Amino acid sequence: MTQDTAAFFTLDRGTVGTTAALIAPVDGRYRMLAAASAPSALDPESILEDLAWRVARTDASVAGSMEGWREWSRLEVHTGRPPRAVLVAASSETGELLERAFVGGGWSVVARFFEPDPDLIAFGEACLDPQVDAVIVGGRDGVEEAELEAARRLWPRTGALARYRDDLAVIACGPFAERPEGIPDGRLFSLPAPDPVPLTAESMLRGAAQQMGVHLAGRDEPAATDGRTALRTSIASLAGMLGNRVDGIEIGVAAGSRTLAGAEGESSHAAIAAAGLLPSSLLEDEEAGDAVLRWCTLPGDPAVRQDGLRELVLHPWIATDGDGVHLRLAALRAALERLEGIWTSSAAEDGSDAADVLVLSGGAFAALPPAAAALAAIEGIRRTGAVSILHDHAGVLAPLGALPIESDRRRLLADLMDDCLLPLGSALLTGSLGKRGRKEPVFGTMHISSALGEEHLRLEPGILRLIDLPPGMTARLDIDPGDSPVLGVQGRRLSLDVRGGLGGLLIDTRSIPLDLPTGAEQRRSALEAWEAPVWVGSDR
Amino acid sequence: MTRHDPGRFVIPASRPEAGRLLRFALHLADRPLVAPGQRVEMGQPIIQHFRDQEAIEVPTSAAIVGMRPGDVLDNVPVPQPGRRGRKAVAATYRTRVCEHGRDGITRLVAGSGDVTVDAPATGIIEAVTPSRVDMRAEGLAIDAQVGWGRPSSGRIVIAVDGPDAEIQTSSIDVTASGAILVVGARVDTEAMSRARAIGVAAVISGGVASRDLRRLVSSVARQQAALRAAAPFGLLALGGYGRVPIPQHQWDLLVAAEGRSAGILADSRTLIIDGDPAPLLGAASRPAGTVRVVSGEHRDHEGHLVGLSGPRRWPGGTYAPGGFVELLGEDGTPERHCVPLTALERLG
Repeated sequence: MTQDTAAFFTLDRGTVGTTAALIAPVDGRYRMLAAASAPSALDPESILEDLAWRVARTDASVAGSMEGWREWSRLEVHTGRPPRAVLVAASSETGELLERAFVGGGWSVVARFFEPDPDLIAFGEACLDPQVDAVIVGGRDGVEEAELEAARRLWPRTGALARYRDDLAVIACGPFAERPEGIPDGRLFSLPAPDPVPLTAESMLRGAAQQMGVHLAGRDEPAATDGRTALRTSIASLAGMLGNRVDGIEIGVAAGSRTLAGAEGESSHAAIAAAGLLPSSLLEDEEAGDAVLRWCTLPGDPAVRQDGLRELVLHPWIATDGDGVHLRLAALRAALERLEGIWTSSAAEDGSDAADVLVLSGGAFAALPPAAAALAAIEGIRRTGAVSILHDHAGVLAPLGALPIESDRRRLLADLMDDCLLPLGSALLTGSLGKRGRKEPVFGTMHISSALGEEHLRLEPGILRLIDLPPGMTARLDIDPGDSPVLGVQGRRLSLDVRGGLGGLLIDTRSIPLDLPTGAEQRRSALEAWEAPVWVGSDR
Repeated sequence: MTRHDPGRFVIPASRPEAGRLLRFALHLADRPLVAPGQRVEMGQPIIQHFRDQEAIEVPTSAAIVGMRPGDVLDNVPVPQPGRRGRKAVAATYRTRVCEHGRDGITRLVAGSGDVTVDAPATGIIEAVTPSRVDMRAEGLAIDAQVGWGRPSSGRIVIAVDGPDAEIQTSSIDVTASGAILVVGARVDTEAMSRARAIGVAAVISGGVASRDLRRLVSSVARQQAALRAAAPFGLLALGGYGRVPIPQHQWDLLVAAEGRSAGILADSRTLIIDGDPAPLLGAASRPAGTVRVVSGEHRDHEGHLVGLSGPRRWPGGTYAPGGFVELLGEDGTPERHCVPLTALERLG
């Protein structure tokens, strides 16, 4: 896809929805002319035709004749359901490394047996679960002889149990030379041994696990570039192009991913099945539902909310108004909480994953008002600092990641940034403002000046303020930290500029991590007070 | 569907389907009682399932070393010492092979407390593997949203006046024994308990509350712990969770099927109705352009999609494309409403 290419479509096909955009050259650069999202059950041809005719009715001159739309090029990516695995290892140490690689590679782990002699019935029944795609055995060289011996026993046992099924993949990760009897070539795979690296770091096993997962879970899907891999590529290109630290957060219905990249390239990445907006476990596991409803501001009987949440799992598209939107916001907050929990579980806690720009992708953000999406993002991924929040509303980033040539991708990104990355606004997270030394603490202050006027705020702890700052505007923040450090600075004033967006500017002095009240009603009240400004203009 | 038909932007409703492939999962010790190619009748035992499983180890011998995982191995002697001066009682295990270990031990799984799984439909067995039995059902399959329980079958009995009605527990009596009861918009714990107690084969409702389902699961678990064998019982909710009227087109189909034999397979959330599908399909069919509102203010109303409104801002503050739907008002006159396209499903 180059500047010589005429109009083309991008298609991001997910497990629940399809997002499409029509892009064409206008006055010497590419512009996004139209975009739409629709349930994946609909024929994508209808969506593309609608885009073409929508533009034709408005101004046919911009993309030439619409009659030939079927012939236009398509940049298409596909995101499938997360593959499911049973993990086996002879020790908990090896098992945890194995799990880290597969969880970071987008797999959902449904059962784990990290011991020399697992219970035969439990192990066998886990393998018989028709939802499981693969049983995966991990082993390492250089461990104690007892573990090596146990691993040598586990491998043929795994192969024997896998013979109950004719569709279960058997994956050896490590030094398993012996071929298990009766497992055909198409179901037997060999991957590298687990490495002692963080979940978010690149490793041979994680890369192989991700590819294997796409292969196994996408057996019935049309062949296309994997959407999460492509999005990862685009986030790195965007960071390189902007020369900023970019944090790409993608929450889909079935899984999520996160990519952190800077001018020098990608620093961390993980695709995490548990970060899906609506995991199927919500249909059976009441505790999983409670963990979501903890974030919900709707009053009333919790049992009715559980029903509502399960309805959302069954019909992810239906909730566009009323309670459904609030349940969706709760589900998004919980998904981000799970993402953050897994991400930080093995990553260094040194603040190195703070970013200048937060890019939100995936269907979970699409069905929320902009300010609500921004709020969920800063509550889920809490890092001290100022960040610009952008939304990949037309799902264009992932398809652009499918382009094989980096320079083509950067050129398109440069052309399309303003059209495709919707500015939701900016957020300033001060960090926890603790009391220090005095009986009467001196709170810091912030002076905000923009073309809209001036505003003066006291930086009291535990406050969330939404300041009106429309897209295209910038505001100057002059901060006097007072007694407590603000943005890690104490004893001197600091100034910074922030950009506006549809959601405005969020000033957040709440604790990091967020400290929610334990009582159900107090928690609901606190959340309701914090999110009230984001619903202004909505019939909540 | 033409280029100008707005219905192509609406998700099609799930359609009744003849010849559905049904999958019955096997556990480690379970035994299939059927063979590929065999015709089975509704209610015929197809699987011997065991409530309890136990791992057994025996020395690998020449007689069993050739057996594959999943193969049946009976008459495995139970190692039990006889009392002093008496001969040991000759008990045996009924097992399936799991593994011939490298340590010279063959590991088996023995089952006890057997329960038969009966075919919920008439059909042909297509495959039998160590992990499942596949059967091609002859009847008409209807998809539900929620399923729970064991495969069961019976005659369809409509127990309420309409799709939005709720059944009174007291109205479930012994005449419903063995039936598949259609109980309206919701079924609560009390009604399900009574239905189970009098031998109802299954209930079909519009919705079921998560809380009632949890209580039912706990009740069954207690019963199993007490080793009381219960008759198969299942539940299908056609609409979803909570109180949900049975979708009108499915209600019409069920009314047309009253008195027919039917079965449910809760694992795959499927109802299979025996007999000629044509009258049932006729009852459920709708003219082209008919849609059903599946959420929001006009939920469960059927109407005609007459046009597209383009993207709109909806009360929750979100933007999504809408469509104009003509619904019948209370006085019977058509009223035009704008509804999010994602809140519709296409029936016609």
